[in-house]
Amino acid sequence: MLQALRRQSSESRRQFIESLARMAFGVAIVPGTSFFSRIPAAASEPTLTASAAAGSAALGVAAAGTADHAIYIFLSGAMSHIDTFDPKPGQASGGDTKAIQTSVPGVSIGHHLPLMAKQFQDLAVIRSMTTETGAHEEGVYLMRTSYKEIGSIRHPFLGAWMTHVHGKLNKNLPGSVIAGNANRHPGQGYLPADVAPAPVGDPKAGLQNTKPPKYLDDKNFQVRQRLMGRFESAFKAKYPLTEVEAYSDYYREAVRLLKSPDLEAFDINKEDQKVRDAYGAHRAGQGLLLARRLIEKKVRFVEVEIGGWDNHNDIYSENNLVRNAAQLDQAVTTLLQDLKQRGLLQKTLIILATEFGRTPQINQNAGRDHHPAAFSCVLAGAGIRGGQVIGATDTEGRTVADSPWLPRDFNATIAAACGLPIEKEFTSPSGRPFRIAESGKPIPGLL
Amino acid sequence: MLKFSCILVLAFAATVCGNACNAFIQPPPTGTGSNQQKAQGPIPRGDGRISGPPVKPVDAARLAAVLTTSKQIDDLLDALHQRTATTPNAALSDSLFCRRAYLQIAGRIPKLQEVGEFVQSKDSAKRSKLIDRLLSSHDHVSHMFNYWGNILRLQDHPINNNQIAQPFHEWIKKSVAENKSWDAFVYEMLTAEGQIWENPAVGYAMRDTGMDLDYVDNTVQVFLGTQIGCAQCHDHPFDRWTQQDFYQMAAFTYGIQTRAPAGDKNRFTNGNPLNRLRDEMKKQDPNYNVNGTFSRVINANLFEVWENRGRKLKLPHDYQYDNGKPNDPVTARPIFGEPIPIAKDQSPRVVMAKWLTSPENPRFTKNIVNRLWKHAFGAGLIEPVNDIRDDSVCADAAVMDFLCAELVRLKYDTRELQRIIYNTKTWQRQATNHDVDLSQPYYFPGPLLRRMTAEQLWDSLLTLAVYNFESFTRPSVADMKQVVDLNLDQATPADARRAADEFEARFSSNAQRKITQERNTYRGRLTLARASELPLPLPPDHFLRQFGQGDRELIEASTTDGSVSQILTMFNGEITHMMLNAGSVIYDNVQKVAPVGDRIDVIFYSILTRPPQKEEEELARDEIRNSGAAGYGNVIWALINTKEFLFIQ
Repeated sequence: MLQALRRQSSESRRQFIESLARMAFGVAIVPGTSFFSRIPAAASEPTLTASAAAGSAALGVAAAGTADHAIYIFLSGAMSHIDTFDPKPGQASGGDTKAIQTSVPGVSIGHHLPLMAKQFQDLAVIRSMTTETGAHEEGVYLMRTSYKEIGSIRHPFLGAWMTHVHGKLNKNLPGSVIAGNANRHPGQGYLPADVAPAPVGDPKAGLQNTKPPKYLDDKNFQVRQRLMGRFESAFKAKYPLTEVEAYSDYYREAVRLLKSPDLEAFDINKEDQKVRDAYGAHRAGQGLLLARRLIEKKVRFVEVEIGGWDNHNDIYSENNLVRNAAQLDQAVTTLLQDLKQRGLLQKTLIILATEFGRTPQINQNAGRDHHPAAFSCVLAGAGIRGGQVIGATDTEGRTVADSPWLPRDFNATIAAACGLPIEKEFTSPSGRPFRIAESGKPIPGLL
Repeated sequence: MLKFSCILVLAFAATVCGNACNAFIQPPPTGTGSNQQKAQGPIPRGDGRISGPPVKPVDAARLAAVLTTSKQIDDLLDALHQRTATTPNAALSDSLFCRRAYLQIAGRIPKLQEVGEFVQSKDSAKRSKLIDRLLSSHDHVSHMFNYWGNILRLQDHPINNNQIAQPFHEWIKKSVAENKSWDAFVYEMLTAEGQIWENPAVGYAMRDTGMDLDYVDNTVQVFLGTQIGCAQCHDHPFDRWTQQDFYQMAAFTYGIQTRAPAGDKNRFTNGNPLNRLRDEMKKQDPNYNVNGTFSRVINANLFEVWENRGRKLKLPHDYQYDNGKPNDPVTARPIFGEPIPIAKDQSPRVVMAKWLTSPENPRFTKNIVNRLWKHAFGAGLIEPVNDIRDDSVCADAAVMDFLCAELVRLKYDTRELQRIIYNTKTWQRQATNHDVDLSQPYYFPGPLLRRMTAEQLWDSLLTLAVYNFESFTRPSVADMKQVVDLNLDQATPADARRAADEFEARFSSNAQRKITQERNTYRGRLTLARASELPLPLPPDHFLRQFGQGDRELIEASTTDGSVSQILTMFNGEITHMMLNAGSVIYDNVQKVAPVGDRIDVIFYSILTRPPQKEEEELARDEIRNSGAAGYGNVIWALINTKEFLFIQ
C-alpha cells in the first residue's frame, strides 16, 4: 500500500500542482467544454462523452451496467424499514403496520405501500442494509459518498462521478441535478467544478433565474447584451486571460440555454395536468416528475431528496409515515410506469436510499428512534433483476440475519449498474487516492 | 472628465428630483402599471447606525515608518525583478487604485461620493491616507471576518443545531476591530476554556466537537500552513510526516472536551440537568414538548470547553509500523523542534499553544506572512499556502525573511503588516495581464487579476443599490446571552421554558426570518445585508453560494470559478433589477444631476470607478436617446454584467 502510494507520488505531485493552479485562479489550463463550469476534468482522467459502456471500456474496466441515467431518491431522516419494505406482522416490533402480498408470490411488504406491492416485479429490495452510525449527517454522508465524513476532504456523490467518468449527454444542461434542500450535500467533492450538481430548491419552481422580469422583452435584452459587449471590449483586450475568456463562454452558454427548448425540462408546469396529477401534487410527486423530465432531456443523474422520515413521535399519525409512504408510493409507481412507457426505464436506474433504519421498539412518544443496525433500500430499472428480496433481518427487524451490506456495497452496486469503474483509483487534488465506492463490492444477484 | 464638484454637491442634497419616471425600465403595458409598482415594494434602507464593535484606528504617526518599510520591500522586489528579468507592470491610476483599495481592504467597491473625494483630492499622501482610513473601518472588519470565516469554517450551528456559535463570530469581529495581535488571537483560540458566553474563543475548539484528530490536522494547516492530515491514517506519502508524528502531535490536545460532564455530581449537584429539567417539565405540563427548543437551549448551555488531562491518546488498533504497537499510549511531541517535557501541573494544550505561537516556531510567522501576502497579491510567496514543506520553493526568500522579521518586530500586528504591503509600489501596480502558472514561481510584477470573491461582489451590489446597508447587522450576542445563558444546576423547568420560549420568539431562524422580513427584505425574498451579517452557511441556491462562497465544511472551501447559473443570476436575478428602480442608490444619484453627460459619468464612476471613454460615452448617449429612461437602465445593467466589473484589475 505504502509503496504504491510512494510510486504514485511524483505523478500525483504534478497533478496536484495543476489542480492547484486551477484552484488558485479558478481557471482552466486546458479549456474544456461543459455546461455549468469550464474547468477541465482532473488531468489524468479522460472525460468521455460516449455512452456508459464506451466510457468504461476506455477506462479498461469491463462494463457491467447498462444505465445511462439514474434517479436517486433520498428519503432523508431515516425511513422505518419495519413499516415499509421489511414488515414484521405479528411481532411487537411490527407496530400498526400490516403485511400485504405483492405481485411476486411469497413476498410481502408494508400495507402503506399498496401500489408498489402491485408493481413489485420491478423492484429489488435489499433488507440487509447496515451502517456504522446513527447520526443523521454522518449517515447521510456515508450513504451518498461511501466514505466517512472527515474534516479535510469532501468526497463526490455518485452524480458527480457519473458526469466525471461518462461525460454529459446533453451539453446544454447540467450533468446532475439535486432537487430538494441539498444543505451539507457533498456535491462534486474534490472533483472539478464542471461536474457540480445544479441545485433546484423547489421542484415546482424549477431552475432559478431563467425567466427575465416582465418588462424585459427579447429586443430589450439584445440591446443590453450588445451594450455589454461593447463596454467590455477594452477590458477584454487588455486582459486576454483564460479565466476572463471562460466567463465569456459562460455568457454565451447562458444565452444559449435561455433560448434552448431544453430549458423547459426544468418546468414541471409544462407537463400535462393528468400526468402531474398522476405523480401527485406533493414534494415526492413533483420531484420525481422533474427527474423524469430531466432524464428525458438526457441529464445523467437526478437526486430527489424527500424529507419527513425522522419519526421519533407519533409515527402512525396522519401527518407522518402514513402520509409520506402514500405519497412516495404514488410517485414512485407513477415514475416507473411513465419511464417504461417512454422506453427510458431500461437505461435509467432508480434508487431508493435512506441513511439508516428505525428501532423495532416503539418509544414512549409512539415513535421509533434511530437504528443503524438494519434498514432497507430499493433498486429498480436499468439492468436490475426486479421482483426479488436480498438478505433478511431477524424476526424483530433488529439485526441483519443474512448477508449484511454496507452503504459502500450499495453504492458499488449502483456504480456497477451505471458502468462506473469501481476498482480504479482516482487521485484527489491533495494527492490522496480514492475509489468511487471505497472498497465496496457489488451486491450479487441484483444485476 | 466629470465635473465632480457638481456631483458631490448634488449627492449631498437630500431630496431626489425628477418624478417623471420611477424606474429605469421600459414602462409597463398600460393598465398594469400601478399593480406592478406595488408588487415591487420599496428597497429597504438602513438607519445609518452600525452596531459593530468600535474599530481602533491605525496610528497615523507611524506612517513615515510604514513607508520606509514599504520602500525596503520594493527594493528587494526590484532586485528580484532584475535578477529574474521580470518587467514590473505599469502603475495604477488614481481611480483604479481607489477601486482596488476599497475592494481589497473594505471588501466592496467605493460609493460614488468616496470616489469623488479621492479622485478630486490634491493631497500627495492621499493613497496612504485612504489605506489608513479603510484599515480603520467597519468595512475592513466585515471583509476580514469573511476572510477568516472561510479559513476557520465558521458556521452558525456547527456539528449540530444545539451549538450556538455566534459569540465566537462576534469575538472574531471584535478581535479584528481592536486589532488584536495575531499570536494573541491564535493563543486565545487554542487555550480558551469555559462556555461560549463567557469565553467566546472556545468556539474554535467547539467547531471540531467529536473530531479530536481532525482538530489537530486543521490547526496545523491553518496556523502552520502544513499538511499532516494524510498521516492521520498512514505515513504521509510525499512529505516527511509519519503516522507516529501525527499521533504525537495529537496527544497534546486529545484532552480537549467540548461538552460539560452532565453526570458530574460536583458540578451538577442536582443531577444531570438535561434529564432533570425534562422530567420535571413533563410532570408539570405533560402536553409541553420538551424535545424542541426546550432541550436545545439546555444543550446549548452544556457546550463547554475544558481539558480532561486523564484522557490519553493511544495508537490506532490497526497501527502497522515498527516504531510502535497497536494501542500503545502516545507521548506528546511537537512536529518541529525538540521534545517538550510536560510537567504534571501543566496543561498539554497550553504547552502546545505556546510552542505553536512562538516566534521560534519555524512556520508560525511564515504561514501568516504568506497568507496575507496571498490575500494582497493573489499568490503566496510559497505556493500552495496550506502545504508548506521543507523543500517548498519560495519566490523570494529575502522578501519572506524580511517580512517575517518585520512581523515579529511589530509584535504580530498583522494589520500593520497589511498597511506596509498596501503601501508598496508593487501592490499599487496594475494586475498581470497574462495567465500565470503557479507551479512556477511568480515574481510579482504586480498583483494577479482576480475575480471578486462572492462576498466582494455581493457587498458591491449592495453598495450600488441599498442605502446604509451596513446597518443591517445580526442580533447582538449580549441580548442572546441574556436569554439563553442558564445556570443549569440551579435552573427550574420554568426558567428553561422561559428561555426556550424567548429564544424561539427572538433568535430562532423563524424569528430571525420574521425580523429581516420586516426590516431588510426586498419583495419578500431577498435579504439585504452584508455577507458578514448573513446566516452561515447559506443555502446552496443563494447568490453568495452560487458565486463560490463555501459551505464552511472544509478549510478555504470557497472558489471564484465561473458557472452558467452565475450568469443567469446576473441576467435575471432580483438584485440586478432592483437597482434600476427608484430608491436605489445609483438610481437616485443619477436623478440628482441633470445633463445626460453627467448622468453617464455618475453611472460609470458608480459601477466601474472610472469615467467613460469617449466611445463609451457616445454609445451610452445613443442608447439613452433611443430608449429614454429605460436607456439608463440598459446602460447600468450592461455595465454590471461586464467582466470589468467582476474582476479586480
